[in-house]
Amino acid sequence: MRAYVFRRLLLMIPTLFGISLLNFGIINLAPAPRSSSVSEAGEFDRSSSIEANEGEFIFRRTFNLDKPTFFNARYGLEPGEILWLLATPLRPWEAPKTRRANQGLLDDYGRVVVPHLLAAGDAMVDADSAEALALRRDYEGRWRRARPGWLRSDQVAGLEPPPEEAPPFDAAVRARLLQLALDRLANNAPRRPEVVYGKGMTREIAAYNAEVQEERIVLRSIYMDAKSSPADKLARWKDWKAGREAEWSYSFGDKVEMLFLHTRFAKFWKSLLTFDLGTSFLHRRPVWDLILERLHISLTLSFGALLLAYAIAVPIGILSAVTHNSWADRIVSVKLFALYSLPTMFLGVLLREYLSVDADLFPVSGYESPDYGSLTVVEQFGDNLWHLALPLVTLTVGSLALYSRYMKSGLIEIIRSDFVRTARSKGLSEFVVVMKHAVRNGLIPIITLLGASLPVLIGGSVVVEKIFGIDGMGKLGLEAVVKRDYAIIMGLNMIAAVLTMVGVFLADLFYAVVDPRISYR
Amino acid sequence: MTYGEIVRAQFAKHMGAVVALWVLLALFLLATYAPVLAFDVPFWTSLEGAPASPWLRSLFDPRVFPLDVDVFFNWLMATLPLLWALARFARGRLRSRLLLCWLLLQFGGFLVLSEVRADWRQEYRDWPTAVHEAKATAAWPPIVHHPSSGLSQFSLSRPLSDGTLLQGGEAPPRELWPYYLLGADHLGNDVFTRLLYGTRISLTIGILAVAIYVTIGIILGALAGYFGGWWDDFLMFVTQVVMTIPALFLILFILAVVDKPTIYHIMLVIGGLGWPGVMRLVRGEFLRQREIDYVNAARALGLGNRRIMFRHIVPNTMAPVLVAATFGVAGAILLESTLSFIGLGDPAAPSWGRVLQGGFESGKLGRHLVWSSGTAIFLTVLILNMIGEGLRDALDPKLRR
Repeated sequence: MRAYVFRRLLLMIPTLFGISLLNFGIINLAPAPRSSSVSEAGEFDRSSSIEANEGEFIFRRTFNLDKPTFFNARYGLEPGEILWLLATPLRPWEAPKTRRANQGLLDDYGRVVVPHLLAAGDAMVDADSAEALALRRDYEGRWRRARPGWLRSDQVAGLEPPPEEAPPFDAAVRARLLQLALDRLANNAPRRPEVVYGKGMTREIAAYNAEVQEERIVLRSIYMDAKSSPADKLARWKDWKAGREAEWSYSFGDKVEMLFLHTRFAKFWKSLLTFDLGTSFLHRRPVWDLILERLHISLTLSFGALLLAYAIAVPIGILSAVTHNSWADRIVSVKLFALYSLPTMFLGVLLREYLSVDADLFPVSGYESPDYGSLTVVEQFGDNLWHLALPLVTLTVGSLALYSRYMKSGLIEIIRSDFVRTARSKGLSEFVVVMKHAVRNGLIPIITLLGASLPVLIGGSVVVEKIFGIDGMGKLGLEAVVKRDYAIIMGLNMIAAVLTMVGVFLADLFYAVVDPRISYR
Repeated sequence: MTYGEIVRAQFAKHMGAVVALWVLLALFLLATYAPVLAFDVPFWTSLEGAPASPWLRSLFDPRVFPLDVDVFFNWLMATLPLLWALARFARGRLRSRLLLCWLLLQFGGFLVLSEVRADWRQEYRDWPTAVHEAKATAAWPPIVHHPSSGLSQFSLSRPLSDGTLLQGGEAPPRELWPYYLLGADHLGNDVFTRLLYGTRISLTIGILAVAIYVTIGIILGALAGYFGGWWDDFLMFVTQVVMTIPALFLILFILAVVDKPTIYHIMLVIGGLGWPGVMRLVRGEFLRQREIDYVNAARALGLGNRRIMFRHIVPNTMAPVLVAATFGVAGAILLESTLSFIGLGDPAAPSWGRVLQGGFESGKLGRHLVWSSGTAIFLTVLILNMIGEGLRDALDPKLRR
């Protein structure tokens, strides 16, 4: 038995892995909003930088959308590629989508590209150096390679096709590119202070933020310096970089770490393993806190409904099995069959409309009364019960019918079996025969149902919470779907899956306890 | 007696299931011929400048019927009598050949029409008012309403009222705009018409979603059960994962990722998540059947794996799958209306769940909506479950009486 429990617990790990893989797949399909520091035309726009767009920033950071999916080889970026991306505004013939993507890519690279930007700036200041000539040749090569693609796909009427050769870098173009490089440096080089959404501010984070702020002031003073020329500014940037050369020289270990660990996938797993469900941009708080606040409500609802359903279904099942084919049994069966087809939301809305709104027997919405805090514990329990009565009934009805049907059909077969006949022939009373011999075996099929019905109940609470205005997990999820808060939805998915797994596991154990024929090895 | 005759005889003993089957057929016919019953365009009118039959012209107009589902059913109005005729009069080989032709006609016609009809867009025309103002004569369908172009001044009218009581708006002439049979919804649409056209949506989503997941389930179950070993372990693991996630939460996730959910997305989501049950059924049957002699005989004949799996074993596993599919259609319809109810449906589709949602959100004034749409969902699910029940008993040799 102990070995079985252990094995089942171990099996949960791959299952959880599979579930999170599914989640990861879906989140990667999500329409990831590009960073909006890029205007429609692909020009770099400082005024709407990431700080101005906090929700999107949280979204991208929560899911590490600025990093590659599986492998991150950004330690080996080529200076030529950075120059090509940087010079996007000089190529108006490219599709707006490509131009936006180029700028978004530069945004995503962040601090890694500082040396490349400086090199590009250098090449613009000193156009005759060997590096500058190499960069120039690289740019021309990229131009020649990109042009046929444009001719194939983007020949929109009225647009000039690009010239065959890249235009020469004359003084005006060089000045423009230098300015672009400086803008980029100002955006990409500063680190961002750690924002704690609802989490405690630790001393480390505070120290880090202070350091970051100090650095930002220095960098800002370089960028905003109106007196010095762009070339002087570039020199000041290089001075700044010279002091921290180590950050951009990657040892083998650094490269391996970056390649495998600084990726979306690795970060996703890291946050899962550390139970970090990310931050909701809707509530500006960690998803964990949001879920924990509501977990007990949803658990009360689904487990309460489960218990209630079993408590009612088992006696009904027994009675109708014993009185099989009598008139009473037929009427009960027909009614249960109808109940089984009754849509949860229809029943819920009707109950709320007639019992809460009209008859005023139950509260119209909510989980607790306004004066909940001032009540004693017993009164609080009663208050919750009063609020949850109708939702519980709504959730119970659907599963009730299913369980009692299973109970009945299982029990009928058992009552016909040999050992029951033996028990009867021993002269035992009918009550003892049914209750002691048959029912215990008849319970087995509906215990197997337990595992399958948990996901249904947890999902069903979404509807019930909407109807009865209960602020539980379902309502949280629904709100998140409408506002596209993926962090909440993914967190809920994971929590619900874990709950279901635990439920199925418990059901299996219970199954073994009830049925001695099943031995777990 | 052949197997089919035995099953039919057993099914016929189930009065409830037989009645349910007839009701389902009636529902299907109502859904198909909805424009004959309820439409706001006349079959014929003496109005000057009107086409010979405005009704016919509007059937494939993308402005009147934005959804492709309606194109399918409108085309079916023409082809369904052909199907009936060939089922009635053709026999044997001829019948199956003609059936194939009919399927080609129906689906090919649907595909062609849904492509071509983009050019058939007409100016919007308020036919009842136009006919009335010109004092022309016209032949109308019995109910002169469109499922989704209601007028706001009639919103939430009570059943059997002429729509003027609530808002005091100016009502169109009584003879052209008759009573609201089941009242009007929160947007002023006639609820009966909306439910009628909603039948098309519900049946389509139910049947197609189940078709998707039965196909997936049969293929995966066959692979797992026939090959066993590594295939079985892997596929059972995937099944375990999909079954563990509460479907509604996963659907929420997927619909959040999709930009604008259409009924196709909903079908795909329901279909993509429902297969584990069917897969386990088919796998279990395969595990049992692959040891039986006829499989060995097929193997001895040198038939390929694919042929043995899908030509020999799969037909023998179809009975439980058929039962599961019938219950599955009921479940899919329920799930679709739940999704529409919580506001995640296709906004363009006149789904039953949306009517229920409108009624719920209108509070006391919307109770007639709750009752009508809820009853529609309930009855449809009920008859499908009854048919499933009857099928299960008919297909189960243990229960033969």
